[in-house]
Amino acid sequence: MSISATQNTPKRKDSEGHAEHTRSGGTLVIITLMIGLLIGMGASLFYTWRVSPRVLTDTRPDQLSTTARIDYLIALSLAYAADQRLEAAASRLSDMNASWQEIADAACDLSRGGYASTNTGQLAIRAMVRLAESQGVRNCASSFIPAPTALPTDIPTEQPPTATRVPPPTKTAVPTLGVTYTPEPELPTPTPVPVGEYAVNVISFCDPNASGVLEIFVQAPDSAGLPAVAVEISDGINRDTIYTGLKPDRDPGYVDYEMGEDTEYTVGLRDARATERTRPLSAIACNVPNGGTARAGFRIFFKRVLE
Amino acid sequence: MRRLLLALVVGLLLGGLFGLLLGWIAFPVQLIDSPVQNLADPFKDDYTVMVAMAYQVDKDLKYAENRLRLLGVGNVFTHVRDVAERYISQSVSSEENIRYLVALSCDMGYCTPPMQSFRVGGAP
Repeated sequence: MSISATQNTPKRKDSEGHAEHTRSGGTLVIITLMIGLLIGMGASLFYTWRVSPRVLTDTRPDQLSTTARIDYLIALSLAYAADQRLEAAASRLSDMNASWQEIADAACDLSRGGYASTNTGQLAIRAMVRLAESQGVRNCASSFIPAPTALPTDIPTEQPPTATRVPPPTKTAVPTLGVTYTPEPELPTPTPVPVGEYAVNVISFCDPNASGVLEIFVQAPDSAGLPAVAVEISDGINRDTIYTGLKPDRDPGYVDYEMGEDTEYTVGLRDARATERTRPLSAIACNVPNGGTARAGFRIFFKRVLE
Repeated sequence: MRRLLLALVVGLLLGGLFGLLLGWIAFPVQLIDSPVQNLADPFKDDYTVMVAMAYQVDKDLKYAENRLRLLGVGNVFTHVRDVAERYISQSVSSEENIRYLVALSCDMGYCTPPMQSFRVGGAP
């Protein structure tokens, strides 16, 4: 019995040692597994975030790069210039997480670069400045926009005839004294504006006798002038409406308009739908063919297209 | 020793897979310097409308084309046509926006029959 007792003791010790060994071995395996997990995860996160990130193609405007933000700001400002819907512009600006100040700053940067050297670029910068200024934000580009020039105010006003003394009756006819009042040419009778499409054709000219003048002709398909058609002239801020036919000696469908300096105008027909406006026109300085300088004028033809 | 090595390899594999899942699917990189071409489709459409509206202001077809090229579409002309036709067929936008798109598309040479009724009125 004592022998068996002495034999059992090391056996028990062996099994305890083996169990302990197995326990510590299992812990070591788990620790190794965890280390492997961490290393593997770290390596693959480095790979997916740094080496080969998955490019999201469904980004929002607030994730745009600096250059792309400016392109987006230009587009939204011009869209505002087209529809004058401030809430739409504000909503788009909100999508970008941008402020009104950012538009003004972008306009300022653009006005200092080559972008401002083209008419289209200037239009975009002006649109940005106007949008920013609509919220009271001004900066360097605000001076880039010329103040709207006053429209020609020298419209001839009719002088009231002065009272003249009645001459004493004589046998000889006495010529009438004072200002003779000639009746104004009769205004063309308003005729319904033909609805339809007009083709626009713009020809520039340089003539000191018609310096900075827009000569507008509205024509039927057979080139006959159409009187009493409302022509809308816009300088981006103000819109003026003038009517054809006030100079019937020139053409029944003719009307002209004197452009201010440093201002761009677009011309369109107010009531005729489906008719495009002209490109922006400005009375820049030009050289007269026979010498001298003048301001550019434009002959604009709106010719109705047969449908 | 073999068990340890096996545990390490299994850990690396599992960790690697989990990391790929996290990095590419669950938490992909949010790029903040994204070009216009990566915008989500609704914003791309809105950008196209804005360009069409801008075109009504400056009447510069070349600029409109250049602005649309930023979208990274193969053919900007057919892109405008497609957006306009989709807007017309799905009525997803205001009539005013459709008119802007139609005006630009027609000036780009793609004036399709569905556009005609929006063309009569021209761009607002």
